[in-house]
Amino acid sequence: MTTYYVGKGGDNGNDGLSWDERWLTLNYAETTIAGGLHTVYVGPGTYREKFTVSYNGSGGTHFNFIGDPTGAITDGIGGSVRITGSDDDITATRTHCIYFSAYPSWRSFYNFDFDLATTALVGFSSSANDVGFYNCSFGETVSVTTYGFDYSLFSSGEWIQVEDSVFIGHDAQMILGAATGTGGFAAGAFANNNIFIGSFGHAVLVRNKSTFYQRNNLYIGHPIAYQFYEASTENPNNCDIYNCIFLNNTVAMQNHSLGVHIEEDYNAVPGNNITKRILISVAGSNSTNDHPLLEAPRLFAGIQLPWDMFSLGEWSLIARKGTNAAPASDIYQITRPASGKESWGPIQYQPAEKDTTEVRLSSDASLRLADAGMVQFFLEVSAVSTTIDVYVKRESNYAGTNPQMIIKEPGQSVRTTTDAGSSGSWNKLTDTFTPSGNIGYVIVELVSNNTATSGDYKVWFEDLAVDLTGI
Amino acid sequence: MPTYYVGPGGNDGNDGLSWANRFLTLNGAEDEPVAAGDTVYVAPGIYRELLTCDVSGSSGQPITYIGDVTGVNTDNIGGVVRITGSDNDLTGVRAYCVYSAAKEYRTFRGFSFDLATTSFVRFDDDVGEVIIEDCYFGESVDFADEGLRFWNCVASDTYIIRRCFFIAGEKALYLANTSGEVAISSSSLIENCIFFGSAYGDAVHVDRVVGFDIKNCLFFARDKAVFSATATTGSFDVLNSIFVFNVSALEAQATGDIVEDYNAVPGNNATQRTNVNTGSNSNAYPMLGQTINQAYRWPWNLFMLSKDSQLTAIAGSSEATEDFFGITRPTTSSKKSWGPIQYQPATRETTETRGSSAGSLKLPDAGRTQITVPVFAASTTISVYVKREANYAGTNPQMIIKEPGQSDRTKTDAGSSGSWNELTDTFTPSGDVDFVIVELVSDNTATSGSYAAYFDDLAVT
Repeated sequence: MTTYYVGKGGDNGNDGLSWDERWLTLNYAETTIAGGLHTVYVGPGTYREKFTVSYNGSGGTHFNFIGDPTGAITDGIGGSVRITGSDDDITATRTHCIYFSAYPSWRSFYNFDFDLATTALVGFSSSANDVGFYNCSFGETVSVTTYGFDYSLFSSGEWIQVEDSVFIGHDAQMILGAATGTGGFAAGAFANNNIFIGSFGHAVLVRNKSTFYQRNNLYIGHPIAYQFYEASTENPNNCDIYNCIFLNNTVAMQNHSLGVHIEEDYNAVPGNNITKRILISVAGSNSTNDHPLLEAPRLFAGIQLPWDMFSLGEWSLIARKGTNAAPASDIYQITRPASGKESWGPIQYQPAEKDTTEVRLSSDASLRLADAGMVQFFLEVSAVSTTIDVYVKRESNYAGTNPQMIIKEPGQSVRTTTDAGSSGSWNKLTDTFTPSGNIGYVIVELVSNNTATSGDYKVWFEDLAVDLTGI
Repeated sequence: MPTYYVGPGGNDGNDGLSWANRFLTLNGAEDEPVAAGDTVYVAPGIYRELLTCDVSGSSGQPITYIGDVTGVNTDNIGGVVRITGSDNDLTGVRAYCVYSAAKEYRTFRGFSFDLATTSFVRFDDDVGEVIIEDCYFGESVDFADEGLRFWNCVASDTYIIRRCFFIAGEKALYLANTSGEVAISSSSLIENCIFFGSAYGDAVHVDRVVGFDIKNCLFFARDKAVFSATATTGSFDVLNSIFVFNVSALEAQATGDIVEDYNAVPGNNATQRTNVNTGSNSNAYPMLGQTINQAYRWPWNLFMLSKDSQLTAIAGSSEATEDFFGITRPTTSSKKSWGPIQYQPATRETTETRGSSAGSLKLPDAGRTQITVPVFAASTTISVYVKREANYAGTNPQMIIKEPGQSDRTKTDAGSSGSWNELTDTFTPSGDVDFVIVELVSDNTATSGSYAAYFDDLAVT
């Protein structure tokens, strides 16, 4: 297994074995490595090429292309790792950003942004096996007929995964299968933790294929969010959909025929979907009409708070309900609580609230986590010894791993400090370390892992203190 | 002109004249009654009631309801100020969140609305002189809901909707006059709004109302984005706006009803124009929104232009002077960005650094970056070094410290170009909220030569 590098300022005459000796183009890396169990790190920047994928991984292990948006492994700067079909960011000139030619297998792609191709952002010439796309953005196109992830031509594909990705626009955002050529996916084929926004046709269209699962996706503003069409006669297994949220769609879920093919449960399908279900005789017994009630922005002039409109608001009912077979982490790869408190949809990040009654010493306020969840701060640091500390108090019935302070620096190991004091008192969590300096910030996560479901189990954090010494 | 307070824990039997003696309900304040020129601060929390406007303000003396999201005027905690049509966050039981019939000179700022069954906010029967700003029109309970409706607009009256975010409704914003065409005041405008995400819902649906401007809005994945439902003799203008992923971007019944220019209407709108002439300065550039960096939760804004967007370099026309976040737009015409958000993220730079620093923040042109810094009510010093290039023109780079509810603190580079100059400010935060926002700003107006600004070694003690 070898690690290679591609990035801006590289040269295809280099050996590609270090960042200093990086290659310039994705296609050169693909054809030079020619498959096998290898990893290619791709530095931030815009890649104006049609990346043609034609080689296999090895022995069931993937040949990985990994975008490095934090810059920690490549340029030390960070930014979008973008593959575009455009040469001028105005018009599109190439058919695809990534195109699978022949029958490549065991291939995975992480952290890329795709946009402005004419046919599909990611497309396949025929079948491909064991393909994964993770943390990718299927972005803007210049035509309404372009697909996002076009897997329509395959005939005997076995396993694909698309996870933690965002799709905007497109005709069909994910299309799997075609009018002819039936077949099933292997177990484990799924689309999980994705956000699908505003297609002109479908978020997900499955034709003649079976055994494709969807979990914890969010579908906003589609003519048909999920359609199972032209049922496979050869392998009529379910294409199940669980733990998903549907918002402002014309049709939420449409089946080919009554009976099998779509099994839906644990989904939130509120009344702002004009039609919730077509040819689905029975709504899942655990599905709900509850509104997601996405986090509302605090809009006020002059102040821009970090705001994520796809998080569930504090009053969302569905944030507090159990789910079924949810992925272990959410779109930000934050671990979901394990005790039947999981939230639906791709983002389960739970903001802390300010509390003025439970405070330490003469402080004005503390941060309160009402239940399992976490809050994140971005702190500017430089490569000098830095101490970060915070006081924490948990209530008496809190159960599970005690509250934690977790420090994350891109490209570095996660640093975790866990409350070792007793409940009901303010205990100090402290950590002294020297940041790498590769990146100008760390993320401090304050975490409640509570699993208790009765009694008092809130957690307060207070007096976060940081030695901030530089950008 | 008293100031009233409303909040959880209040009592409508109180006089409402202080936070300690606050009312409990919105209608408690309204029924006091409020009078022209009054201000009502509404604390964070959930208001499960229909606020019925009983009183008109007067010219220059509107009745102003302010959702106090930072908490600095009310509970000292802050949060969303939500008026909902639901009692259980599941079903809608009230037709409206706010309703006014024939009551005018009313202003609402800083509220979140959701789950009403008919319209979230509705002004009926000849109501004008209304300002709606910094409001969020959230989820609707039914696909036939409306967000904000003005029914029977009044000739020469003023209607201002700015810095609002709409995801709701069959019609997010509905302006109508059922009895015939009416020209409202030319001061009327819809500005810096974001309309988002409905497969079946119109964004701005206009029926026989003319004479106003739509400026610097973003229409993102709606059915009809700007729609004129009936042919008119007058017209309204659409300027400096961005249309992406809409079924129909600009649609009128007769040519001339909608006058558009300086808009970006790319081919990812299924229909770009129907009975609308293409403005000579409009184009089909894609937006290229800021994309996501996962694994780490970056402050990420889908509605911000990325550094690759070509829209940021295009001249506009009579743009809004501020953006969606209230940040002043750069003043040199050739540098204006389109749409509601012109906030320009800085990029990291490893070659132009101070001392042995690993990297600096580079602002390649006019723009700014914001950093949220946790603070307490103790003397705090924030400093940063800045270097501007030789051809930089306009106000020198600045460090602006913003604390909700407090005056901005601005420090401007007074040193020479080409050297690292320190900006430093010592102050005691109010402690009302536990953060300040440090804005690092380039105000460059030069268009040729070298004019980047670099910031390095931000220190907080």
